[in-house]
Amino acid sequence: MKKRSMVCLAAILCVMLAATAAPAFALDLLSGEGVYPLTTDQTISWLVLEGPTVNTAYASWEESPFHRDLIKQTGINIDWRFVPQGGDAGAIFNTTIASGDYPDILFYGGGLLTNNISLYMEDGVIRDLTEKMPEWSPAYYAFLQNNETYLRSKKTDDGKLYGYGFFREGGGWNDSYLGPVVRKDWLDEQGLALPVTISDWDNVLKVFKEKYNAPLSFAWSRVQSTGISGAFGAYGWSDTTFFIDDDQKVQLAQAQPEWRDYMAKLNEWWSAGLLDQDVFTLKDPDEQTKALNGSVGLSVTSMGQMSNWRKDAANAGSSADWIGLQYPHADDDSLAMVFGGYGIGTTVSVITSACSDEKLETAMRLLDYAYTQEGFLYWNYGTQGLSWDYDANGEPAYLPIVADDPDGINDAISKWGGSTWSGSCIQSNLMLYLKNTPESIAANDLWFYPNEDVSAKWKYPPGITPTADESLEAQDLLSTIEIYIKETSAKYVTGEQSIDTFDQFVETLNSMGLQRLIELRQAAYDRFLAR
Amino acid sequence: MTSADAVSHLPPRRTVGQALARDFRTNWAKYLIVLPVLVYLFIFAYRPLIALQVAFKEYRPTRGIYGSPWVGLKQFRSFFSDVYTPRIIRNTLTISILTILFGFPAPILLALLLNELRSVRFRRIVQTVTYMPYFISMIVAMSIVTIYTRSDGLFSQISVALGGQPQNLLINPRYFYPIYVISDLWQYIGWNSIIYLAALTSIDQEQYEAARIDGASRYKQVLHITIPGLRPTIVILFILRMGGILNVGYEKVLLLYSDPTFAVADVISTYVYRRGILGTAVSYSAAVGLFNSVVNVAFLLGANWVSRRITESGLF
Repeated sequence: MKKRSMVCLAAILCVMLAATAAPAFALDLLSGEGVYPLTTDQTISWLVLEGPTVNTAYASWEESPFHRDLIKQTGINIDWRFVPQGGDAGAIFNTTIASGDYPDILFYGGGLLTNNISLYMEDGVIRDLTEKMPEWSPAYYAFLQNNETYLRSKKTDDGKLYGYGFFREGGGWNDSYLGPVVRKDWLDEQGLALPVTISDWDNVLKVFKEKYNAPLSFAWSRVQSTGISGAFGAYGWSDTTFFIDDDQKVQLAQAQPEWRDYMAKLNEWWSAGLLDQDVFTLKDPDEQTKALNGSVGLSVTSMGQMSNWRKDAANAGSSADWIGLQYPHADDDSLAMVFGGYGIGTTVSVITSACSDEKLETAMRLLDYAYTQEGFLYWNYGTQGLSWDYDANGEPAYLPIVADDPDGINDAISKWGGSTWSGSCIQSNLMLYLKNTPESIAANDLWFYPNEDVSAKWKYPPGITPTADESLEAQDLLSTIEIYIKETSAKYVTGEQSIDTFDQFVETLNSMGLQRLIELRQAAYDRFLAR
Repeated sequence: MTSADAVSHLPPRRTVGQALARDFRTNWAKYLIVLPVLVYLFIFAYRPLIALQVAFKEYRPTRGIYGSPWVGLKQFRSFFSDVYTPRIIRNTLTISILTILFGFPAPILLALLLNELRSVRFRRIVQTVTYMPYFISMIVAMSIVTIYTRSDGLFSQISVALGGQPQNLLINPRYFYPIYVISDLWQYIGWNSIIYLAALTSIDQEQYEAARIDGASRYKQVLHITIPGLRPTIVILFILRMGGILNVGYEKVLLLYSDPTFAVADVISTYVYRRGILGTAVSYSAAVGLFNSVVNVAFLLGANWVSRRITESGLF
């Protein structure tokens, strides 16, 4: 993928101009009018392991507006269940499945569920909803039928429908929530332009180091997935990452020569003191402190963190002007990939065998609500007239109870809506625009729009359903390979191991069963494509 | 220890059942007191033993522990053929032995020193200060360690002042064990010395008086009265400590290790955590845990046997 700088710049400018208004997305949803609220005396139990949990401001769901009012909106009595304080979602999921005492609906996204869909359908834990979907969940069914990518990600290899997923209205926009940020005031002070290529980064880093003693620095969790690998034609850093190449073949990012170049550059920066010696142990709060202390000028972080840094600077009266920066390109201006996705979550609500045939319609109608016009508004904004109403332009706007909440609008939205992190719903883009600061929005725009064509196509897509045997075998191989990659990548960066050993590294990976692992992944991916 | 009652002298022979029934009638209140402990032991120590069978099965969540298929020793075989197994056992033993080597005698020394202090006020202050770190939650304590060992942290600054280069100590595999052991001392030395201080109070003061009259110096008194007086406590604690030789808590390692130090820091418990909790290889992790316990029991029995031979005191 190559791009001319001019085109790229033009695209950035367009995006920056467009950033002031939320782009409108055509969402063609069915209306639930006349269906909801239902009249039923049935109670549906719903175990929520992540996503739309009760905001910490409330002691129980009875106080939580979102959970309380969903019952009113749908007319269906819900027996909400959550992870208890201090509990671990994965452990609760495991014990719930093992106990045989299932809730009617289970919402979860961890690999435990998604990698084992086939197994659980085989064992009769998860109900097959294919037959009843058009009748009892017409809105969701229509939504899936309207978008081939969505439909493919939410059915099994043999075409069965099993769950209600999480989708972002803006497609991959918010999946690219990580990217480079820079202190604009320092660039201006030193008369530097926004760095575009890796050579520009070299230069900026040297100047920042010399003038401000500020090396390249980031919270480890923000870069261990990919960082700025795209500029090198690489697809990952230290997390074992499988990507899809241009020939639809599954590949391991760390076995490519481009990854070697990436590590070599990081090592060069490390040895020259241009890369923070603490990166491996830094967490978000540490990085936030560094940003506030002026000991970092160029970083990679999330839009949410960037908002925090800006807020800190404003509170401290500092001149620090953090802005989003386009992902760096190679010196020949190519960019292989950026952190992103399809705008489809891995989380899903499934209906278990505990839900009897008599209750199935109620459960399916309850889940379908989120994909109706009314339910979409409810899941994102809450109850009309209470938490939001249409503004003069006919767009939803939060009322003062949300906008002026003492905990801040960012937090308040999750009290009234259920789509902030994930849910079995469609996340509204406008909601995200209202939730974040304009600068963060601009940063996310910059990370996504110019790179839209390379943000998702490389991704091993969500919704692939490996067979039970495939998952078990892959898990075994992966646990060995993952550690080896983490360790070796760290050694390459710190120079403890010479990058010249790369060929032996790949050989060792192969001896650990890499080829078999790729075969397993490829088989599951091929079946996914054939759906 | 039952109160002597006249009836018990009369019948010369009785079956065990009868004896128990009689004993129960007279001492039912004591049985009642013991009952919660027995229930506790049954529920939390013995019932889980039945579930240990999962180590010999291939756990399938939908079928539960009892319904999953048997696979024999497959999990153990796969553990012993894993490329990381020698390494995690070596790391576990290294960390454990180092903490015993430095962490076991240190509280004894501290207790002896505190015991020699004349100023009660000063002693109390030292005691409080040394056992404070024990009450800091592990997460907070390790964040302190992480921050202090950073390239801009206290220790790096000291080394810079002495002409060194700023560096992150925690990502250097050479410094991982010293950091682990020293922070362990800091966390537990005060707390672990409490039991010795308590044992010290039970030593007969008249022995010291007699020794003083015989002209023994303070050093001689410590050597010949205090240490022998502490010996049973030391032996029991040492045997118990040996029983946990393969137990290196995962919390601390998890909070301290990072990609560059994996090779020296990955221990059995963190491995089990990653495979079992994060990777949901339940059967596999149970097998590793079982292996861990068997080795621990072996060390416990071994230490006890050695101790009986040498000091003639032991746990059992």
